[in-house]
Amino acid sequence: MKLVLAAFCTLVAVPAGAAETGADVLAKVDQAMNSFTDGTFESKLLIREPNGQAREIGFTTYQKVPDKRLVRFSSPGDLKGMGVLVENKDTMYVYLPGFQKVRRVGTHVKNQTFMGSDFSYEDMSQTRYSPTYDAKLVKADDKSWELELTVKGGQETEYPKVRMWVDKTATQPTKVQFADAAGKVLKTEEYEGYHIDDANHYGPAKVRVTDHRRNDHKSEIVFIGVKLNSGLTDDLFTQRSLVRGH
Amino acid sequence: MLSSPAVNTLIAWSTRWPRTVVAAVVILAVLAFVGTSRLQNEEDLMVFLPQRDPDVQLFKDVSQRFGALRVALIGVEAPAGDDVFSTASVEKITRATQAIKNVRGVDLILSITAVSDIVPGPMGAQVVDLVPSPPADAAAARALRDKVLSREFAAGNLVSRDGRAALIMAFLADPSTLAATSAATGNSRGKGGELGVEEQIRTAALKELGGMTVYFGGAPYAARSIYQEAQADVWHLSPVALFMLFLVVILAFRDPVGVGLTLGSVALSVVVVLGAMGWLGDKFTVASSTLPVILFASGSSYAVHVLGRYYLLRADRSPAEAIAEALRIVGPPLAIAAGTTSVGFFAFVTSEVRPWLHFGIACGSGVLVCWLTSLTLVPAVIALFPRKAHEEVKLVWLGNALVATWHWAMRHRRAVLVAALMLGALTVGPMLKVKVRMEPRAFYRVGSDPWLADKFLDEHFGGGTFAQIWLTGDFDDPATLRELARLSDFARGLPGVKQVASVLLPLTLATDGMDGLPVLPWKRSQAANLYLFIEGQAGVRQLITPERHDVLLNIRMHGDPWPAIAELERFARAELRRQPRPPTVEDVADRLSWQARAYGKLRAPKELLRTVKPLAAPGLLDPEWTKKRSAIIDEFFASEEAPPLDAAARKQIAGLAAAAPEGSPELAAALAKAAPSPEEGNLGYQFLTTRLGEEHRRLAVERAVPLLIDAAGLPTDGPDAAFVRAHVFTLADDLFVRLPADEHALQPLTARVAGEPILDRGFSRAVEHDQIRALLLTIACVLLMMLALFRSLRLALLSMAPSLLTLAIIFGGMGMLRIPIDLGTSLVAGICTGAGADFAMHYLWYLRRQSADEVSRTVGPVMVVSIVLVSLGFWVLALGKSPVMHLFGGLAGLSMSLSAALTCLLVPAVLNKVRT
Repeated sequence: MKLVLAAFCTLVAVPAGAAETGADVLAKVDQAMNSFTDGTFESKLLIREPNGQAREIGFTTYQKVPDKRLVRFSSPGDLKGMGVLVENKDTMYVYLPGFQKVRRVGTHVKNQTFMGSDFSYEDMSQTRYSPTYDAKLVKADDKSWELELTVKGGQETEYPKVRMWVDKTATQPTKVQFADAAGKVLKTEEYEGYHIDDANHYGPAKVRVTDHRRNDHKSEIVFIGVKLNSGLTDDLFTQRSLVRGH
Repeated sequence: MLSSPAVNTLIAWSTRWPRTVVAAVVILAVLAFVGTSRLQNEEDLMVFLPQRDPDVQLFKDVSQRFGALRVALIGVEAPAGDDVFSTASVEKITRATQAIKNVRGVDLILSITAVSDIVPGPMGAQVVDLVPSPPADAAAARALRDKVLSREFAAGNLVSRDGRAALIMAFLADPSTLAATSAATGNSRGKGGELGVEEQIRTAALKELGGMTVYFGGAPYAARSIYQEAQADVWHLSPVALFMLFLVVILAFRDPVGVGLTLGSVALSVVVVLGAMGWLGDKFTVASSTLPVILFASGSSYAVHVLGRYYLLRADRSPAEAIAEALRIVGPPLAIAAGTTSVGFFAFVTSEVRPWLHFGIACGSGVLVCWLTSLTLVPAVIALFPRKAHEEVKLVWLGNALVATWHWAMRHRRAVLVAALMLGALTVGPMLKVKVRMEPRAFYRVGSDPWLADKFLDEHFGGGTFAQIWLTGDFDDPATLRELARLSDFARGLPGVKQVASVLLPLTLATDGMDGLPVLPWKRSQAANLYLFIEGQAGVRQLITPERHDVLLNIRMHGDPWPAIAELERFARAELRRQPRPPTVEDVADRLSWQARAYGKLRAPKELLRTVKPLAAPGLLDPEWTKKRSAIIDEFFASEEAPPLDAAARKQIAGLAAAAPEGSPELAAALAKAAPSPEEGNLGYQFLTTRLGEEHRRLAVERAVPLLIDAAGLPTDGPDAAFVRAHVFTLADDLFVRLPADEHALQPLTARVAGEPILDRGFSRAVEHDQIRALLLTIACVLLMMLALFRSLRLALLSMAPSLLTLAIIFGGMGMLRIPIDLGTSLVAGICTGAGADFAMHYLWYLRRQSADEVSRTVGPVMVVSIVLVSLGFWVLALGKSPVMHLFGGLAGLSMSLSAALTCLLVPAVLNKVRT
């Protein structure tokens, strides 16, 4: 998921002062988000309900570039052992320990919210923006770029328009607004607390998503621990591994 | 108070410093105008709910918990000769669904193009879109139609069973927590002239659904439609009321200043009251929208009385003397009239319905302002612009007619009194039958948006009335889930119930998806996993809360909901098991009999037990099971669930598994030994025994289903056959499933019936209480005022007799014609008792100082003018579009006229000894 990937960005070496286009900047962002071979991220997902209650879900994400991902849930108790395997953008599997079976999740559910949060399955599977969007640089200053993304012909996404604010130091988005074709903002992601977390990579401490369609319903992912380039093997990203929990 | 020094000083002051009074009135009017600009509209009909009523509180709790309160229903009807599965229709519905989903304030959307389905796939079942894309051609459209109509969650719920209509359900976010405008996003909503969520949805739907007939229903549209119609009524009817008032006054007075004063005094009171509401932060509700017309009706008579008397006295007095004498004569009865009329409105301070309370205060205050204006502004203007006497005001012919009526009533006093008594007695029975009914449908105008939407829902979806059962319990517990299924089946078999929806259906579908068995989870861990899996799916959030302690059973009903509601409340109270237990054969027989009842078949549970009890799972030697067992074991060895095993180990394990498919220590030991590690062996053992156990159950259930369907007489073909089979499959599983003995519900199960009918009941109860309280308070206050005026209990009672008899006739008539008391008609009793008593009071007051003939000739015509004004004012409301206004206006006008007519007959009949 792009917000997770954002935690593992690296500084991308681009000559300062070069004439940049939107496509250049977006490429830098994608590169920064994926400039590691593998990573392990411990996180917690906070889902804030309208009545003020918050639910907390603990999980660990294993990532292997370009797009393999395994998410294992550790808390609460009824989620423990559950896992989601993303083989690629179009292929996802879920393991429910209560049934001791793996089931494939159709790409059709990509737009559905994930476990009642404001993240969708599409968020889980998307790792790069460039393949899906054309970018236009609308503003740039000393500290940031502002991009306007428009979905490419032939690409399907829930959000045909995106506006992104990119921090020049981290080459990472600080804020992303997802909009419909008419430009109405449907969802906003905000990245906070960029810091060098491991191996000179920048990562956010927290990602907050607000779904404006759901009455500004909010969810947050707080990153607890990050370990990069530790040599995760392909064996980890299999159904067998999903079932066995290791 | 009647001739209090304060009132006298006020009158004297007004004639002595008329310019100051007029200037003060102008300043007051300007301030009030500013106040009216601060007045905000209140379109939410929910504010009319009595906040303390337990049924209303329950409804609000349910809404808060499940977000099910505000659902905008967009009904779509395909063009003639087409259905909603054609390429064009699906494309339009898809676009409309997406556009509505993107409206800020729409929390969730459900339609055939925004709902998930579970279908078999390479890895078992897959969660997919029910309608992944528009059909390419006619054949694909037919296939899509067959598929969608075979899904129970869609057929009759999101699409009509004939395929001609579809429903898009937009669940709106709680408006109280929605920020007015998000500066961060630049999105807009609601305020500052921008469209509200409902209107944005309407615009989006109409834009995308061109060529299809579109209906807009549900609470948001109902509220908006009712409010807009009432407001339109006020805009249209206020000028009519004003014109009628103008016509009557000009005919009576033939004096432009007199007309201006009468109209001006009422207009001033309207502006002052609305301005005060604005300054106090009150909101303009559908109730207060009637205020101008009501004040025109009930507040204009004060100036009329003062001016009428002035014109009479002016013939032989100077203007100052005439106005002073006029106020001296009419002052006391006008004070009482203002008191009795306003108390009829003020009595609503006891109301549990907050806008009604505010409305009562506003109307009562408006009447008092009208009265005060007649004591201040009228004499001040007369002092500034003295008017001449007008002979026409005497209306001689009318006076003569009143004298003749008086004498006739006196001559036939016995007949009049007996007739009145008989009439009163006859109304008692029907009056007791009058029911209070606060159904939203009572507010709908025939042909209005919500009316059309209701009709659409009735025609295509089997009704638009929803009841809900709110259950609290441990819904991870399999036994609790089965108790929920028991209640669900019970509800399904009740009269008028067309559909029952709960989390059981998505759970069953999800279990089918995970396990290939369309049954309820039988372990806590399964339930917990499935909830998380289905939590993000559209519609599920409205059925279960995230912590899974609260569940909602949605029941769609047609026709009179009350027989089913009564049964549901009885079941919830007496039959629901607080501590759910694993299902028994008796439970299965009960549920089967309820399912049979839903299809019009009466099957006693005892009769069904004869079929249910002997059902058993296939034995080890059963040929089909033997074959299947072998295939399952082979599949296991070929899957990733099996550890790497050599041929010998496979053979040994296959033998052990075939001999003990439910598992055995020998099989576990063999797998642990043969696998690369004991952990892998143990995992393999669990996978294998799970597969075998489930397939064994499936075989048993598949064999039981046709037998159960046959025993219950359930349909085996037709549109419902697949749904019936799925229900019976889930039910039959309860005969063979073994719930873990160590798992129990962690909290007791409780159920409360909620929903629209229950809300209406709470609302009706509150209005009934309001009605009784307001009526008793009004009667007591009016009696006290009459006692203060006449110092005679006999006269006080006599002055109230015509209005009370009128009340009995009106309510008796309503009982006979089966007209229920609604929000509007609930006002009639108070108005009739308060304002209706004025006529008799005026008569009696003047009879103490003049002969009956003199009173009939001089006061009578003025009273008639006043009665005509009041009645016409109310009848104008009957011209409105809003059904509530129709009835209220008609009945209030009738009550005023009837009170006056009965006064003309009853007073002379009773007062036979008074000099003529």
